[in-house]
Amino acid sequence: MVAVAAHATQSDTVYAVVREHGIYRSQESGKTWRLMDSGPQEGIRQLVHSNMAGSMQTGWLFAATPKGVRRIMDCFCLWQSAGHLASQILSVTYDPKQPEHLAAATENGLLRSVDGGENWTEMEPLGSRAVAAAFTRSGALFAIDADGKLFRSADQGGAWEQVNA
Amino acid sequence: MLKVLAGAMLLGTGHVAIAHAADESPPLDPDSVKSGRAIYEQRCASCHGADARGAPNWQEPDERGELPAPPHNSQGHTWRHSDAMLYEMIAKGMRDPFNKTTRLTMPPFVDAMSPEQIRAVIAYLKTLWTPEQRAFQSEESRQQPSLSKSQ
Repeated sequence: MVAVAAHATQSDTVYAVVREHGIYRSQESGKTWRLMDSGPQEGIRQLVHSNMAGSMQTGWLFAATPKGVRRIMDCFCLWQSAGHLASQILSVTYDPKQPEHLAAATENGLLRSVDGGENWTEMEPLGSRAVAAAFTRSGALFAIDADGKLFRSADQGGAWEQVNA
Repeated sequence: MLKVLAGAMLLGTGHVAIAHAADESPPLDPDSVKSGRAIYEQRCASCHGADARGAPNWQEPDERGELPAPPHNSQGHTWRHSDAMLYEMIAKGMRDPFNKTTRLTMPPFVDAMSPEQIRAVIAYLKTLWTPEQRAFQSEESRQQPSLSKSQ
């Protein structure tokens, strides 16, 4: 297994990415699984489910891939390139308070989107290479750099403070 | 493409059940299929194709920034949607939220087709899918009951 993601609103639904199989979904807290899709061609490094509006079903899945962020409704209709980022994506996350707001740790730095991944802009750099990012439910953004240092931003990457964890 | 797994173990635990497509999906009513095909040819084929192969390059936005009409055959993704969702799409229309235009690229047919006619079109579409896809869609329909009373 290479990635796992909890459903944004359904407490018993979880997705698991299995190499050379694809994306499985369980709606029974992992008791049973169903293969839903083979996933994007590029492969998946990390997956997140979001309750961003506009889905025909219950939400969206965003995948960090070696060639950008990929996006799909959770009915698994059609994988689309979110913003046509060509770089390797290490991590993607969304703001639960504003689900159309995303953040991505990429090989070229931290990026943010305020329109569901259509457009991306650079955040203030950490000063070192970010390898993972995650929003909290309150909207705070955390990032970890390659040295394992933890940083926190209260303004979606406008400014960072190191956290002594 | 969906793989149907039988008896495989996931995650190496040996304690996780893999749900695989049911052996059979419910039989289709031939009269409904026949009626649905005629309605499809009249109402749907102009965009989705008489052979249901969809518009060319349907997976990429066109020059207007709209996703073209997808295929309804086994090469498309129609089979991934429950009956309830398909009914909603036909009745109310839809657009991809990332289209650059605001119009419904799939027009609503609620005023042009009766509930029975919409259901007949869905029945016809099911004849275009593989047995595995039909079984998958049948299970999705079972898990997602009707969205509106009109269905």
